[in-house]
Amino acid sequence: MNFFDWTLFKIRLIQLKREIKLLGIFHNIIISVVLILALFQIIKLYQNYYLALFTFISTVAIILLIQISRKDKSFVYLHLTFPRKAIFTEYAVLSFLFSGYLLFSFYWYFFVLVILCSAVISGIKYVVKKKTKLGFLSKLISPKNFEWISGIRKYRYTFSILYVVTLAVSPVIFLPIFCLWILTIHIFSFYEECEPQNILFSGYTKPSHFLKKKVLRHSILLFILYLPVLLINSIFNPNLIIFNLIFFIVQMTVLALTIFFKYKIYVPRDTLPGNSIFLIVIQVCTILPFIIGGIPFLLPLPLFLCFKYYFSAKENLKLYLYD
Amino acid sequence: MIELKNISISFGDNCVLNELTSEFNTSEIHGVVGLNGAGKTTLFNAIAKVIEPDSGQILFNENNIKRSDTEFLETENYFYSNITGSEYLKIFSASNKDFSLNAFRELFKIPLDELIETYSNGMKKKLALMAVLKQDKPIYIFDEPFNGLDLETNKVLEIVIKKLKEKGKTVFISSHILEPLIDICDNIHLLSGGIIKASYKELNYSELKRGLFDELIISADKILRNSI
Repeated sequence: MNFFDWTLFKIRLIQLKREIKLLGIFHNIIISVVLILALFQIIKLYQNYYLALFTFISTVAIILLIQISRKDKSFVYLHLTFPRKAIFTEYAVLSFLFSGYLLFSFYWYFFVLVILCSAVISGIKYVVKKKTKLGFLSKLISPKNFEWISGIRKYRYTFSILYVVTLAVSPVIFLPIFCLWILTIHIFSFYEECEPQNILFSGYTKPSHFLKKKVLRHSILLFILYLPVLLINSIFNPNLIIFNLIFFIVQMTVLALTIFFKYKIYVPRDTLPGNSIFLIVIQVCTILPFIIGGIPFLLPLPLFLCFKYYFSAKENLKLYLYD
Repeated sequence: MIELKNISISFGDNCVLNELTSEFNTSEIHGVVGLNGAGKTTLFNAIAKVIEPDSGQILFNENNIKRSDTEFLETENYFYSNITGSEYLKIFSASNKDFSLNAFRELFKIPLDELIETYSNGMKKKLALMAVLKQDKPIYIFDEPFNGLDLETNKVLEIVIKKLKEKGKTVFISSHILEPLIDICDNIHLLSGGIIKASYKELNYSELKRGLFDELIISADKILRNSI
């Protein structure tokens, strides 16, 4: 009796080949080296019972998560002769990659269990439906600031935990500032997605006006977010009022820089995951001199870049906001 | 009057609109038809000022057309992730005072409080249409608006377009299906070879069908003669 159907797996191989081609030789060499090193390490580590148990549980959990959230299920069931077998084959290969090394350990039976669980999971037809979380957000934040609504909703857990922790430690010296600093890094990721052109047009303004309005609106949001923390911190530590003020101004500048940087490279409907990395580097520059106890000579950097990118953003937006 | 004067648009070596010159009366519904790749979307993009022509001029009431003169429903609709339908609609100004959200909510039956990612293609189209209608503009452009819509929404859309005309708006509309255009348009313009080859009034739509399909029928017949 045949337990496998390789149709779906063959499609995945074609997709994988395409991705590998896109990566280029350099990245492929790095990935291969990392994978080989990881393989040796993993085989050594798997001689530990708890690690083997952890691998079994996490592999099954990953497969279950994929199964209940995969979007191609209706396609597979509609077009494939043996849909369940095809899905199971895919999971069997995936399991082998994640936990196949268990076969070379004393706890090989965990791999057998993984395969058995995969067979059961591949029959689950239930699909998790994406529900609206934090539906009240648009009552607090104007939908014109859609980046914030979308971002807070997307990163709701980390964002809210981080903010609650920040509020809780706000009377303490320096710690809340560090938390806010991390929160700003989180906010960078709100600007990774480029809105479609009709949303950009919705204001019908000139590029300069558009940028200024956006910076003003988003700065107000940042101000509202930071105000309680900085206020409590300044009340408990009056000697830090000036420091807090400088910190706030720097963070405002970094936020403006984030917006200008987004529109400097804006292409409708594009995603810009790379811009977060650049902005994290800038953000590190704002705090690094304080940590290593040096002169904060890098502090004016965001301001300088702000001016520079404002003009580049204006130029780029002329392509989309001309009249 | 909307006047297109010697509009040329090329993408690389591909000349899509070639010195296109035409006039369109305001407060009328103008259908634009043409075979695949004829340049309908490019023409609409130029009128809506989404793209700037390589040469030529587009005038609206003797002035250069402005982006704020037009509202454009594109063939494919894109949205921002993790926002709900009602949040999306609130991004756009409500310059059309007659627009009633509740009326459209009832007509289109869209779950506005749910994330747009969970919508079907038809629902997304309806949502984009609502955003377009929320804004009061003298010119409305609908590129393939009937694609992906259910039967009853198709009919509602026809009524909506007629209502826009009653309000004195100029409407441009394209469709791969000829029938709805024949039902609602005052004029249908045939786009071919980068120019408007012919314009038809209501009474001579049978000529339009011949103009549009005669060449295609002959060439397809030739190709398929020994292929099926």
